[in-house]
Amino acid sequence: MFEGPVQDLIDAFRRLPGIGMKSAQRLAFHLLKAPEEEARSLADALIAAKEKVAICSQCFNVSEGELCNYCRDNRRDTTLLCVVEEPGDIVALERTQEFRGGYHVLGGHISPMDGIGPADLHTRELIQRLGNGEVKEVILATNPTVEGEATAIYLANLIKPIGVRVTRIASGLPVGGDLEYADEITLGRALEGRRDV
Amino acid sequence: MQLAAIELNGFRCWSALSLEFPSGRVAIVGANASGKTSIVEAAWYAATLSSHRAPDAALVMRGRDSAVVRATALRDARTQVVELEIRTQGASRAQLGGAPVRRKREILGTLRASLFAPERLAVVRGDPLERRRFLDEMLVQLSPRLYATMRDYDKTLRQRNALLKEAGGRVPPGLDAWDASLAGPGGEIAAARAETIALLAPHAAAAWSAIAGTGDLRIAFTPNVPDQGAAASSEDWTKAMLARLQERRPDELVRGVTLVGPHRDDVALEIDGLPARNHASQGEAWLLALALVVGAHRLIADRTGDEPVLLLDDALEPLDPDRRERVGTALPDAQTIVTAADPGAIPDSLGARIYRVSGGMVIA
Repeated sequence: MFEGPVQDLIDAFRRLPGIGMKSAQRLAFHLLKAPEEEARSLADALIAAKEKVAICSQCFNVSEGELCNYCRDNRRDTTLLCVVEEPGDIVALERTQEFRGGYHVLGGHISPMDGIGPADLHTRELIQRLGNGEVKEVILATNPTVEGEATAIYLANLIKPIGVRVTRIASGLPVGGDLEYADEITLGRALEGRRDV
Repeated sequence: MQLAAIELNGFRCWSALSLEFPSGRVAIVGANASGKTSIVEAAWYAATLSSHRAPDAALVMRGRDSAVVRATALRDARTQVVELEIRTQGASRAQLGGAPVRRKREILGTLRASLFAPERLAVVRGDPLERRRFLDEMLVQLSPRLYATMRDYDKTLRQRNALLKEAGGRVPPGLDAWDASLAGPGGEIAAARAETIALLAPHAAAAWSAIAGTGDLRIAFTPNVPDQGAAASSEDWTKAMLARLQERRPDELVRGVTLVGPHRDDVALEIDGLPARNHASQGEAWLLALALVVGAHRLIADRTGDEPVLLLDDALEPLDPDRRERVGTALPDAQTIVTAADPGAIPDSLGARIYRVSGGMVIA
């Protein structure tokens, strides 16, 4: 244990996701050694983010105003809607430059062990968005984990009766990778999803 | 496949041991607690990354920080060295051919082994869990991909049970999705088990009659989901499981736990029509467990084209002299490592080279 404020700072870092005891200490001592401006600018950034950043009322991405840039951007294809777990997933998909449709952020996945059911995600809002018939295809881009798959199945069951096409992103091998180094699970799934050429 | 050599450092009672094995049969003989079983255990560890009788921490010699098992596998005139360091603190480390591996599972398959040990008696006498475990051990050897399927199934099962537990008798939202999530891997596991038992049955029955000499052994899959047969696809099993989940849903909601699926499968073992679990004598149960191991060994050799090393720990002493001789004749033509406290328990028919263990040394 360190003296009051130092330990408070370490404890605050430890509450962040992905930060263990050692990392928390390293961060805390880095800031203690750094000039005061650095600590101030970090504190300001934190408060500014908390005050200014809102959640997009349409897709639940992080945004600076009522709507996020993707929802504001009228050049995007409004017939395509991609459903993701977290705002970070949008950034990854945007890097591909392949997808020009809209997004919908669920805010997680269903996980009964953590007490998270469909009602704790933005599923109701998703169905509402599909109500006006503009969206023709929903792409389910939840993670290829047990929970992500279950969430995708849940959503597919919910959306199909509305008459909107539902697709699931494929899983397989990383491009530029070597078959030899692929694990048997990924390779097995890639074999399952093989296609004619 | 052959285990050419094994080196132990701080593993169980062996502070340092270096031992070479010939291609045929070897009998390791020595007094109780002299470290015979530890040698076999180390070979099994190198093949499967786990001990058959203890958690990793128990394998490290008292006073040491880590235990090292270095096994040299020989296959098609090519040697490969597996090195495993089991540490009391932190994750254990694995090397293949002197280079660290990214995932420990990459080691699997370098050394293949089949094991009989007294603990195997539980396959006959124990709960269905023991039989599923034995079966799944075989499945993963035959189809490594199933390891991930089983892991997904277990995780999905825990999630679904959590959902049912909180349901309070009403259908919780999302249950249909968890049904489908469970029935996917569930169908794959059931199909693989059904097929594997059908393949195992003739091998095990042949091993049984060669070893026991009397009685007919019958092995049958008793799946929890209505039986779709050995030839059914995993999609067939998935469909059957989904239907069964619908039927049992009211019970599941009341009990708050998943009642349908391969986590409730069993394997029926019958000798002359009587369930072996309750009716077999101790000697019969022992022979049956041995016959299952030998049958699985033959199946794996048959299907993979790679004969595993056969490890028989304390397998022979409980048997009568006639049965011991039979075992010696009935064993497959694989490299075999046998342990016994009594040299007299090693039948002539085994044709084994004797290694004597005493005072922390092995004299070949």
